[in-house]
Amino acid sequence: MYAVVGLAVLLVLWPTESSGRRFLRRWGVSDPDERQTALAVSYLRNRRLLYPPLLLLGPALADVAIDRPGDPGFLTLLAPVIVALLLAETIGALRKPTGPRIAALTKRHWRDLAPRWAMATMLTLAATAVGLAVAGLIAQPWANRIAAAIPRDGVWTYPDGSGSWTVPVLVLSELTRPSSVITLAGIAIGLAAVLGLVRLAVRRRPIGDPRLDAALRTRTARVAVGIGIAWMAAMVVLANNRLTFLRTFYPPSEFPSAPSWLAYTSAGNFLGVLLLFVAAAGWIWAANPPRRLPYVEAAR
Amino acid sequence: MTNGARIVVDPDSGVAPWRQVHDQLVHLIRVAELPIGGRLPPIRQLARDLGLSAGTVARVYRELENTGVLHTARRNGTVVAAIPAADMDAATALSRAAAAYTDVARGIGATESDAVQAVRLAFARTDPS
Repeated sequence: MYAVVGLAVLLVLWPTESSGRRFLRRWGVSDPDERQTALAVSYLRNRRLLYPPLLLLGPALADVAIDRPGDPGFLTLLAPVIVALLLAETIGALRKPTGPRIAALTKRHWRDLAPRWAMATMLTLAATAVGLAVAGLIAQPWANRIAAAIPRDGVWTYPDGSGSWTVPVLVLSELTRPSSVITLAGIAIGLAAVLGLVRLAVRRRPIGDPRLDAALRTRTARVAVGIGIAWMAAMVVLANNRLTFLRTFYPPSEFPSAPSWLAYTSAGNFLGVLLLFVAAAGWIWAANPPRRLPYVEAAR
Repeated sequence: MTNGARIVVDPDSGVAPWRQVHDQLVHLIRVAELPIGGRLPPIRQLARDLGLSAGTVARVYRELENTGVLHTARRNGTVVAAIPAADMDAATALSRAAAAYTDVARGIGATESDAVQAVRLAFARTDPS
């Protein structure tokens, strides 16, 4: 299924000369010549060719680690895009230059390429996700104690034999699932990928003339941070889902009671809709070119 | 923010890459594409962009610092400090000859004052007056 989606995406997004020219105009190269267009097409092709295999690999890995019913499945669609960008930028950074080399005499900084507000939004979301995941970690020993007291078949009998309490096996396994650790790993991997991409966009060797180079660097950095915002919003949702699960798990009074502070985490329930908006708006504003691109316009 | 100035290094031109970078920097400063006070990129960035070693670009910056064209401060990085004079080629030649002479002097264990004294004597011996 994902392979078909990947191939469809590749077919729809396959860069042509006209789409390459359009792409450059959007990113500040107002009148691209043939060489600039060819380089832009190759830039896009190198990244998009990686989508189908990564779309195949992504869900397989996500099934093991993150994705399950109830969790935001779009993580498995975001991951291939960011990995494709990362791989292509890494290859670009390692490629040995041939022919004449051009360097602009300006110090490059990530602030030239990606908007500060976007980076701040991503880092704020990451910090929020870390906070919620750590809260999940703190509550985990309680969940482990409950799980340890319930028989494997999920049927727990009251001590006086007056009846039983049945916990579905899936819920029982969910109790001990290291969701918060997985979320923390997701945050760390996402941050490393996005910040690594921005760093590569600043540091890699130039492609073509300075204006084209500035446009491609800017595009890479902005798309990376845009994906980063959506990724971190998904991580907040994952961490919050875990807390919701623990908070709404009510064992009989014979079991240890839940940490009292867990009740206060219900305030995070409004996060879902809000974060959907933040993720979508962040993606649209960060990953698309703004009306003015001073760094690209100044390069000539 | 970029000022639009750029450097092109052609490895097949037959001219040493450091010389290409040096000459283009001097030219850009002379024609005010790089104004006084203008900041240059860090050595490692310029070296990466041009596919050169950091040592090659460092040599160019050092030579231009020695002639007062560039100034490097920890806080501000490397900035243009002066416009190379029209006879800068002679000054550069003198600077290079001095560097070579210093290497020879150091090689035979001479002190700085011995070396300077030897230069004075040489000037005195060849004084046309």
